[in-house]
Amino acid sequence: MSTANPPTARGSSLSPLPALLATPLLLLLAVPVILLVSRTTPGAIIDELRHPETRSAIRLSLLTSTSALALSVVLGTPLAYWLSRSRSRLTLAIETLVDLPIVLPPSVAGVALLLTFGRNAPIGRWLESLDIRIAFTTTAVVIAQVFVSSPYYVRAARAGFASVNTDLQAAARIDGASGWGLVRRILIPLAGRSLGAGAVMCWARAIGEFGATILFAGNLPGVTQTMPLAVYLGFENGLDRALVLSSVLIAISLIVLIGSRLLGWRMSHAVM
Amino acid sequence: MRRTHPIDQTIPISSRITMLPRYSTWALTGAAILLTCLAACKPSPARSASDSLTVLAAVSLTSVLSDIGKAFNAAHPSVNLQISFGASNQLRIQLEHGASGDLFVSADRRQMDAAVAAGIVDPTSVRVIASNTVALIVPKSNRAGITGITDLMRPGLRIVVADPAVPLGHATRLMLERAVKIPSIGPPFVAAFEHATVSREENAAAVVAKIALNEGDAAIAYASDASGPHSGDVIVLPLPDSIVVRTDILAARTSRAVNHPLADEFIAFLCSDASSRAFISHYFHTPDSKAP
Repeated sequence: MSTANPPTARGSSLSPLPALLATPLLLLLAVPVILLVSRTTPGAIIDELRHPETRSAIRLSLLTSTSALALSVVLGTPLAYWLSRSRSRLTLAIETLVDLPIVLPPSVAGVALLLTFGRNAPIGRWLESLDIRIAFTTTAVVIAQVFVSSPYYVRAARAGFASVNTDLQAAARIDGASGWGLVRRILIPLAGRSLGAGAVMCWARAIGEFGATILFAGNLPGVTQTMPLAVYLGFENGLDRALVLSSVLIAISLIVLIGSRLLGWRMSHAVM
Repeated sequence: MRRTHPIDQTIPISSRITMLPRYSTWALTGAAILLTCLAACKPSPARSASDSLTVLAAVSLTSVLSDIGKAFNAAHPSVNLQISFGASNQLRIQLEHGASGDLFVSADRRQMDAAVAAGIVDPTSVRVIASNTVALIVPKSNRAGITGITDLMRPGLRIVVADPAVPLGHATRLMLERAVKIPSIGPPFVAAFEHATVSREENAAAVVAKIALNEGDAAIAYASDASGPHSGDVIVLPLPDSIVVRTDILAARTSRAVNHPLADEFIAFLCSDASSRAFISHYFHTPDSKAP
């Protein structure tokens, strides 16, 4: 991380070759988004926002993704810290397990969750006996999002904690810091950028989650129909809702990305 | 000892590139961009006009069209028949945006009308090949003990339906509209039904799958789901004549079809007696039958 090349001094000649070769990919990334946003007018956005289903899709997406992020951070930070400090075959196995949801197709994740928390599964049946229903609820949406997005946070946090010099920690201990103080004053500030960038990626993955949600949580406006589901099914209803929700998602994503960049949490800090 | 040229010793690679003669740099760049464009504009492989037929069909027709397809292949061994299944509205949208296919088989008239309006099918080739009715399906175990639609008003049930955007969902809506007007069923039924609905699935197969997995207590799906991939795990109960909705299955040749005679031949095959027998054995109705 600290071995990056110094930025090119202004005025020195940089070859045009890399920039020109990058053009096709940049166009592929930029043109579809620009075309999508350009087809939405402010009037259409206001009109669509009048529909309760549009508003509930936005509200539900923000609610569930924030909850998923909070759960991932609370549950994932201790795991990330432990993984950063221990080094045994067990930790290697657990790291692979944590990485699994990233490569697993989301629909496969949905089936797996359904077979775990569904009515017929041991856990699901036990919960049903306690009158707790998981499938087809907003809770299921959050569970699906935590499943697919928490690995992004845990990996970034692990890398962040691993970069904190253990000598520093030991020195702080000698000076009297312990437990929560150690976490608050040493670990979090030093690993902060990775934690922040990991949180952003976790949240982004959560708000975009579709496959696991529609299989495990189902699709019901106001309860489980998040923005990606509404876009997919709203595609039929005149395209307006799909375009407006897509533009809203793009706008929210841009705000979060620019905000995190201003805070110094570059996405490169989330890569290990 | 090999004498190294001064230029090799001092100048890093990146600067050496800028020191190339200008025409080389631009030639390289031009070649790279040209290659990218060529890769993007690769013409689609020319389909041999006599050999292949691609059908885009509604997902509720999966098992019956597989059987009919096999019979067609037996009669026409040289034809490469490929059938792709999906929700009718999605298939129509894909065709509108340039998907290739020779035939479109829709689960209701609404989607076919939209296809005609969008100009993606030839209106003169549209034929009704069968019809389907909506029905109540429950899991095989039927722990909720549902025997008819009045049982759907019990509290605590989980009902799965199709999203109104897809043909089955639209037919379900029509059924509920009819139910509201029937005195013996009426608004309380519809209110209880909507309250108990837990999910609106994106196509008919997903509805049946949720019931087959016993994740829902009941669903409104097609009578034809009595045969099909999940038929062993569900029970199909007929709906009363007063509220049952019948949907037509329509087939048409797309405007981009490559082989018109072959496509028309397949449509004629779909209307033949052999196909009618196949539809009936899969719990569909023939177009002219006096079904409820």
